[in-house]
Amino acid sequence: MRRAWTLALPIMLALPIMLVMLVMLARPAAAAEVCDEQGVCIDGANWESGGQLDDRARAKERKKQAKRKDASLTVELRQGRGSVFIDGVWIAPAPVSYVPLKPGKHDVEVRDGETLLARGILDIPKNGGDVKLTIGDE
Amino acid sequence: MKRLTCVLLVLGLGLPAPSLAWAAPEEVTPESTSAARFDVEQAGQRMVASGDLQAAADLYWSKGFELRDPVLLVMSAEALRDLADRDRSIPAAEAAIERLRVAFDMLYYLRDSATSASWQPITSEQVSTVLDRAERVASEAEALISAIEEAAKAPVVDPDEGKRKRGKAKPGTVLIAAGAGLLVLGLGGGGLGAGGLAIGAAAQQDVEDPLVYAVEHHAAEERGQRGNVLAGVGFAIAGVGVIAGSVLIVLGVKKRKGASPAEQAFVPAPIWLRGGAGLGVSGRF
Repeated sequence: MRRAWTLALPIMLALPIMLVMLVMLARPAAAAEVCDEQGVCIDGANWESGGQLDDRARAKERKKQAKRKDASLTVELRQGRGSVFIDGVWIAPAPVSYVPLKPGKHDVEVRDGETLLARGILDIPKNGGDVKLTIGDE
Repeated sequence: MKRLTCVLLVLGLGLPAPSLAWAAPEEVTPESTSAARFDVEQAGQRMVASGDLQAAADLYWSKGFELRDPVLLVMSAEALRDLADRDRSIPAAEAAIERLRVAFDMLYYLRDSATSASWQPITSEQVSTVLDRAERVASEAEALISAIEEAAKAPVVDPDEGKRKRGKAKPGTVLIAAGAGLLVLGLGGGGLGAGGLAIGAAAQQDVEDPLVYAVEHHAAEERGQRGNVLAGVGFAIAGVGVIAGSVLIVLGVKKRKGASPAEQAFVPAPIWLRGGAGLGVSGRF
């Protein structure tokens, strides 16, 4: 009887641990890419085309999402060139890969000089993950 | 069990994120950017002064990226434009235009979009000034490319080509030319002498006229003397000019005759006719 307990105890401890591991390892289901009429395709987040945030809204979002884990954003252009701006800051010429961003709302803009290629608000879900923004018609 | 615990610890606490391409920038203000730009400008100007425009362009470019400063990017393009101008290099001019693209992205964003206090490398008043500067560099670089391409297409012009076309003067040309000049001078002198004779003849008639008295007679005498002087000088010039000119032309023609047939074409020569003399040109057609 005593021997049975010595076997059962580790198993009983291991079960919840394994459950926690499974939850942590489980990745959110890969969302399908969604494209809008402007030729902007988003995968892993929501995209509100044309929107912009001001500094106040950005600060509010930052504060709200401060403790959450970073998502990573990739921006690609199907053709041409352009620079990527996130939350009012120039990041780099496209493509940019794995830019760490907190979940929540961020305004993203891609432009080639005076030509605006994409502008909108990216809404990253709380569980973060990989977000990919592809711009330009196929 | 120990191994499992270790795995749990790693997963539960989470590993630090690997170093990523972009991290939230520190606040960029016109003042902070201007201060950071100053040192870069100083270093770049030293490179420009030593003639290393490419190094200056690369310094401005890398620091422009690092500081997110459109002014440094425009300066990089300016250095490349100067390099293209100095070395007549199309790749340098094209690189200048390419580097301006990123500067234009930044500048139009700063002008037109929802900017942030986190990234203000220049004041809003400076944006249009820097945009004008960038556009000027772009148009100058494009003009340079066109000019270099045009120069490459145009045939090479030899400044001595005109001289070669005229070729070497034919033998005797100088003698003939000098003789022709003297001959023309002599003919002019002959004309002057003839005029003097006419004046003298008219004055002689007045002097011999019994109806011409005192003052008029004296004036006719003076006219006659002037006419005689003119006739004397004119015929003297005519004699010297015609004789010396003819001799020189004859010598020149003789010299040319000794030259090859190709060089004998269109030979000027004096012509003596019953009613006078002149200068003719003979040659093969």
